[in-house]
Amino acid sequence: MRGLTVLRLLAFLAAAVAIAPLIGVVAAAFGDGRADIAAADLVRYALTSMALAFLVGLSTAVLGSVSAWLVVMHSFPGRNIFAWALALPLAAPAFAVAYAYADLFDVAGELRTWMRAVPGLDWGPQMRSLPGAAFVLSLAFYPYVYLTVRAALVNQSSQAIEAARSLGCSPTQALVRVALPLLRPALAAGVALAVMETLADYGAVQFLSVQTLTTGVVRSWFVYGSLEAAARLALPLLGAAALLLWIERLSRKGRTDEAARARWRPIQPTPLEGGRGLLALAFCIGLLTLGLFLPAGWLAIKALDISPDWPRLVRAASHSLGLGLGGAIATVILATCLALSAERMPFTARISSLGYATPGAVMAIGLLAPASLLWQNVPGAVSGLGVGLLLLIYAYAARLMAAALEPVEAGLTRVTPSMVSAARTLGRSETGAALAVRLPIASGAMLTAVLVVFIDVVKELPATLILRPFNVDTLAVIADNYARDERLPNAGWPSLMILALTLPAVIWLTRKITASRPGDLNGRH
Amino acid sequence: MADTDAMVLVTGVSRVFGRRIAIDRADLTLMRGRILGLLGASGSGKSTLLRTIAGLESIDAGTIAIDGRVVSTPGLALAPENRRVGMVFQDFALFPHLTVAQNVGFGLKGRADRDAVVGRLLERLRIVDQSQAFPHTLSGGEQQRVALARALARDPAVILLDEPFSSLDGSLRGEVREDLMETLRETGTSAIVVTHDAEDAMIMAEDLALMDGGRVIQTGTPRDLYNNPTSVAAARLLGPLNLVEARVHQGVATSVLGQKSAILPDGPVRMGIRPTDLRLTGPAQGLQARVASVSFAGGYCVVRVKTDTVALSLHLPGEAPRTGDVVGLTVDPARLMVLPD
Amino acid sequence: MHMRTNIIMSIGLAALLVACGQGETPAPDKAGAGVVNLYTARHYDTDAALYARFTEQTGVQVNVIEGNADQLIARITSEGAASPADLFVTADAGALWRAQNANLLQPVTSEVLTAAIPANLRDPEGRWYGLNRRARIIAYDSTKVQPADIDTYEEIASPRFRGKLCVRSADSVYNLSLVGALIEAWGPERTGAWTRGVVANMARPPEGGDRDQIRAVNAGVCEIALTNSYYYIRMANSDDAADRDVTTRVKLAFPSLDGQGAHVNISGGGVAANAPNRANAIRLLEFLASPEAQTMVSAGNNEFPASPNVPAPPPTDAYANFKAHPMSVATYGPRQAEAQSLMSAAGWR
Repeated sequence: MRGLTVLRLLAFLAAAVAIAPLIGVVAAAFGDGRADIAAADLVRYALTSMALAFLVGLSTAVLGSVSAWLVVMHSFPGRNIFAWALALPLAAPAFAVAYAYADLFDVAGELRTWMRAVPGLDWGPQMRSLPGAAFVLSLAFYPYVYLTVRAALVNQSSQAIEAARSLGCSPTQALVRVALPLLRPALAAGVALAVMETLADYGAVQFLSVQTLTTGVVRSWFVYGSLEAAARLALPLLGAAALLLWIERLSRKGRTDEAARARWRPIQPTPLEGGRGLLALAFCIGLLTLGLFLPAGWLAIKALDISPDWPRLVRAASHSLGLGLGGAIATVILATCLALSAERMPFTARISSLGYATPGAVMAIGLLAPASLLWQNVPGAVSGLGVGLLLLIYAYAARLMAAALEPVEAGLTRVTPSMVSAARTLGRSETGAALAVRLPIASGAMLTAVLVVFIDVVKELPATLILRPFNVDTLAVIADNYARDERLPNAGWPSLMILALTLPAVIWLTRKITASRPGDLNGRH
Repeated sequence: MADTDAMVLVTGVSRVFGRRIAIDRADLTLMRGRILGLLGASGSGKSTLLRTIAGLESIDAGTIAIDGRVVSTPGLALAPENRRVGMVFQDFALFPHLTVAQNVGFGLKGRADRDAVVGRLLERLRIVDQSQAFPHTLSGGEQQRVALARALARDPAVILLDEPFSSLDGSLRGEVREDLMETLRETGTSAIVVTHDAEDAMIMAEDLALMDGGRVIQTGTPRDLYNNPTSVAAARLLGPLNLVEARVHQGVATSVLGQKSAILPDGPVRMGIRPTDLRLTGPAQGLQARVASVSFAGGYCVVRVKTDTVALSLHLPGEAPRTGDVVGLTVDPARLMVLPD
Repeated sequence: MHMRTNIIMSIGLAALLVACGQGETPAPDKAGAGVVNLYTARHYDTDAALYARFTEQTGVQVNVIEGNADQLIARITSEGAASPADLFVTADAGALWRAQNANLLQPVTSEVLTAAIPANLRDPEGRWYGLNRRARIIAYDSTKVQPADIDTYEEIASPRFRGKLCVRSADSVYNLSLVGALIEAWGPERTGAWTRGVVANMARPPEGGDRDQIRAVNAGVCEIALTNSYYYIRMANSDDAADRDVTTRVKLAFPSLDGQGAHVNISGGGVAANAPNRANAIRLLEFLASPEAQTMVSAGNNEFPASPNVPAPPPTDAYANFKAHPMSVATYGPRQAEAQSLMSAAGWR
């Protein structure tokens, strides 16, 4: 039972895939080469990163938990639709939301120009600022908190709250003294995800002229030409990523028992009467509008002004779709190998998740290391389209391992240890038991993982930019090209097409997640 | 007893988890065609011992042989799939993604007679009607029968049952137990049943092994063990027990309950008596005690009494005294157990 | 549910195969007869037509990887000797210098190229050649500023425009190259003072791109803005009426550096050090330097042709008649790091 089994070998392989880029970053950090970035600037970058992470963490915590609380604990018009619709902004890439808001509220934009004509109305939020970036990222990432908190609320038995009420607490007191402390692990996990995404973001933050540590990384690399200095700057970001991952894991520990508790009884939602119901409705509609409809709508309005290069967009869309599915399937297969052995090697599984919280620009530095090995040592590897696509899919796997690992692991928890033992005593080897019992039971969760990674790959930018083979553009790449060239209407089309690809997946996912019952979190098919 | 009649032979097996010794030099023999009960409190190591026999845990000392073949020694462990053991788990561990028939046929992968074997087992265990159902739709008893059928399908040398009744309700329990015994007897299967319930163990098992603190402390027939436990722990495992202080002097143990010969050195010991072995006589006869409480338990009453020095518990069929009554107790010396301290 | 997963997986694999097929890449041919591999940071909608024209003329197939300059540089570096890169094309002389400095470009002597491209717009050793020009100049509010107020680069930093200047971030390579050129002309001390003047003049912290600065002038946020010429020309000729409206109030001024003309930058290209298809790379570079290609690019993105003999096509021609500083653009790159440090010290974010 001990020693190196096939499963473990596969797990180590998957882990190696995921960790190689990070080793690349660390290795580069120890190289020679310097960038003359002033210490004061570095401090400013670091403070901005921290402030941004803090603001996004705080506002996603509020938006996510309030919306989850409303939807689970209360009934009001549209509640059943909002239950899944509130997660839809997951489909929108943060950079596209940034394009839309920056343009919408630009001081010289249509809206502000029109407002300026009306005396006393000449005011608008400054999107290209720290608060602006926090606003945009909060809208893009609050669904992470919404989904985790919602799951915890649904899984939480109503008994604790009822007990609190019977002990003399008002509903508000029950919320503050009982429900919130019970939700804390879920809240921490969701916020950690949102903050990881925030630190990993470059497209949106850069477009909004907010200079973070990632700016420092990019500046060292591009202006001072020092990959090594860039890698050194990336180390604190890696550290932050590891810390967040640890927090997320830690908070997960307390959650499993909750869902598995036998005496579960669904929470009876409290009806919100009249004005309060409308207020809840307005809150949910407002959140959805700000997170999805307004930015998507504005991009659509801008995009309609121009006629796009359709053949190019369609080609890019097919690349996005193909890479998305290919990347998702490869990532889920690797993550499954890892998850099957995760119990026995938890550290390896955790460290493999690090890529998820690593900023795209940093990951790009790291990815070049294994890519370089391949390019320089395998004849024909650089120019082969197949190898190029494989490399890209590899990059997605390294970057998004955590996104796949999490649902797959959750799915595998539905397989009790005794089921595996049963399969063993019924004549299956460890690998055989995995194939005949663990994988089929977790297959629903694997499907979920495929969709989650698909959505992320379609939105992915930095790895695609730096590693893609000849003549392969994705929608995200095209959007980025246009945005860099200051042609927003042109950038609108690919952004909207990304949304068209990811929305069905997000809808399917969130409907499935919100329809599932406790103890059956990953659905049954 | 000849080793050739032993289906499972466990010799000096130890298993250590970190600093905790889960199994401590355990010896155990399951005779061919018999049912061995492994009785112990939770944490006594009985489930771990069962898992080492199944090959689901490795061992750190000793040997385990199944049907004359050594399957486990330190550094060598035949994989569970190659041991010809069938196991029924506490939670049944039915595969939720497979139907009843698929569950039962799981271990027969690739065998031509698979459908026939499955059909026969489903019939024998009266679950034919449910063959296309998924496990979560079955009752507890049905789930147990599926688990048993699944374990029997591969015609194992030995069936290992881990707390087979613990997830069943009381009313169902007796019935399922009868079913299970009948099936095991009919098929002539050698089986080890792990349980923490003395009644289950004594009814089911022809031979019994008692475990405490990772050790096998006593083996024998249920009756023998019930009547002649060699330690307090063994006596307690097999049922409710009254214990009083006693003292051995020149081969005779003496306590408030009476005297009994004991081959033990002089010194303090304990004397035990089952609540069912205490009888009431008329007042002013026997050991005088005052009734502290009476609880009705269906077929009998639990009567707690106090003498000047000890508190005792009696299980009395029929009429019971009332609280506060003064009663006299008699003890059949043959039922007294002298247990080393 | 097992089945369902299988189906999804199959669909995914099929889609991937389709996607691969649609890459439409004839495998790059190491023998070198029919292909050239282009790594370009210049990407316009007219690119496809441009490459098609080259293929039509020469029969050589163009494979393209687009990206930003420094990512492409990093990629070529990582690919090492195995790199399939034949030609590297980017905007900004500084970026070309960085590629040269990383030993990614090889010297090329071509009479066609030296004849077409003026000496100050190419590397003296022929490692890269400018193909099109852009000027970094001033867009001003014609209701508040006279052209004479802003006919030198010094005036951008003068107290006359305190709190009235819009400019993008120091991360912009175009700003880096401009400050690099100023260091070349004035030395670091005087340039440092200038950057401090610029920071003092900023109407708001740097944000957005050049177009945003032009629009901010129109919105009254500031009176002058630093911009590349083509952004303004594009707006003046935009399909979008709002963009055109901006340019009725905002006008373009070409300040002069030391009386010698406006600061110009280039987009250009060089042959990769390990180019497997060197001959084709040179052909493509020569094609891009040809009057036809310069005109096509110019018509597509409103840059000026690099060659003085190639007239700018409309509508760019209306702005082409300015005096350009004769400084060699090769001086910008080596000065960029110093420029960044000066700007940082001055507080130019």
